[in-house]
Amino acid sequence: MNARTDVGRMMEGQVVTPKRQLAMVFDLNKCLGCHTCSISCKRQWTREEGMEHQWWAVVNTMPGKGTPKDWEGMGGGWNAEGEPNPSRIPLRDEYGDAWQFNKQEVFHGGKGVETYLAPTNPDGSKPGWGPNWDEDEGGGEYPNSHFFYLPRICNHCTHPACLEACPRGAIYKRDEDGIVLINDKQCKGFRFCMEACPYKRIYYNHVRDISQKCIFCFPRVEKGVAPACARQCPGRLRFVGYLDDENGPIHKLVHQWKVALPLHGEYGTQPNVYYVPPLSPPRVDANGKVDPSKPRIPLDYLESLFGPRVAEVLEVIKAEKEKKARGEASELMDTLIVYKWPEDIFPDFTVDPAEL
Amino acid sequence: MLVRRTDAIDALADPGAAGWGAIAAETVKLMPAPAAMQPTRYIATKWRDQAYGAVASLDVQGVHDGATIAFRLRWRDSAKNAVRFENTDFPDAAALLFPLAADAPLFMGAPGQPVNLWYWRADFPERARSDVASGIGSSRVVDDTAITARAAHDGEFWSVVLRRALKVQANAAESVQLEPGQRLRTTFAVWEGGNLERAGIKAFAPQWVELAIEA
Repeated sequence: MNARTDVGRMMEGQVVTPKRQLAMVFDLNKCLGCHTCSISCKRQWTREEGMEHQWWAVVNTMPGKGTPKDWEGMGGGWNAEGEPNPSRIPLRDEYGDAWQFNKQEVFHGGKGVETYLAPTNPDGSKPGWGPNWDEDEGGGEYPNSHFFYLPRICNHCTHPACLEACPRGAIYKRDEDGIVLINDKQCKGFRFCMEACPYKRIYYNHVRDISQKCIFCFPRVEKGVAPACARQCPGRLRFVGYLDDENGPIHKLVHQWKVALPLHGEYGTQPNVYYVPPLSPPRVDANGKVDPSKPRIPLDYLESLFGPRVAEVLEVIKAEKEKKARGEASELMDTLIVYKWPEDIFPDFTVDPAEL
Repeated sequence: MLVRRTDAIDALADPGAAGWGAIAAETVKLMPAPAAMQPTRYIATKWRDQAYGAVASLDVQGVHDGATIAFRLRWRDSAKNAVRFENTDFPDAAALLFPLAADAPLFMGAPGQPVNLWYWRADFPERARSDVASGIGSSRVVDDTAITARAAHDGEFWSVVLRRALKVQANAAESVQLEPGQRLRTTFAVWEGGNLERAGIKAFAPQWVELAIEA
């Protein structure tokens, strides 16, 4: 009944790691912000009562306040000394609630010319935020305004703060693939996990009185099917595989080419979702002249997200891109391009779910 | 504390019933469950410098009629928290704990030394859960129909009456079995939902209360 294991826990100064770890790499240079990932996840997993407001996979416009609003400033995770950082439970409206619309009034009430379609939170209040509230706002001033998309899911961390915070041992990390799951029979809805997760990717289901989050589509993965968000991604930017598979794209991008970086590694949880940081066009100076020495997206901003190696990674990508443009071979570019789908992007998870 | 025998237990189903005025109440002193006893570092760190478990005492009364036992718990709480919808909603709650093994520790039992909890929470005011636990973080629901409840909040106090058959057949080994003439121990906890109290963040009675069920 109580499935408490040591995997993912700090034991005698060492985090107990799983036998294998599944990971994803998101190539931010390919994300078009279409939200097909979010929708495919929503349709697959979060359609039940109590889950209306849950979006296990989101796409945030960056720079932006994200989902939930201002999650980056909320704390959680581990500090430099390895102690837990206190945080708080974000509110429904901060995540973005399950809005209701006055469709009856607008479409059937004869008031179509006097009123307009407007969202209302389930408690009757006016929404102050939503899961995609600041889409495409971005940062910077014209002509140097800029944005990019940041898809986010549970990071299935190596040292999950949620797992260690739960007083019931209801959260566990699977030894065979490192997927972090909440046992909904063991969970009592205490929500310490929602506080402890620094990425704020856990939701509360008030109907079942439990916490819920991304499950890395484990029932699909167990049958060789890629997670829904990855398989449905039109941009083909979500790589899936085992970190230790030296022939797979994950190992190549994270360990061999070292171009995929964790988001907010300083949170200390060792996330297993990695990002290829975005290149951007050059800045335009006060005279309207292009200054090719500076990228449109400020480097210090990208470093605030992905750490100190961003510049180095962007140089590697640029150099390999130029090689490819000259007609030379580039293993890195070939890996990122994904010529053959699905075998090049999630080689171990190519089964078509329609065939099962 | 004496659990008095009565032949009019149904007249005491309502926590506001006048009959409760004639039943002696035991005032049980409560204290915050210590940070050092919190099961995870996150909880201990988060609550280290925050006040909790402020409910200082609980008035307890008990009656039985040979078949059914009823306890009335009454504690001061001027803010009623009974709704659970917002992510930060934690309803007020209270619990009784009975050892199922002679030496079961008072703080949630231990492996091989289980305890039975009667857990009432304001979002389900008309029933209490029967849980069994063998250590901190191990509680699980045995039954949520055997214990019925009625609760009232008068703006200043919660009054809750919990009722159960003295003996239960279903899940018998995981439920405390009671009979007239029996002496046993119990203890109590109260959670102030408005202060986000849940799990081990609570006020609890650090000593056993001796119960004597009148023959």
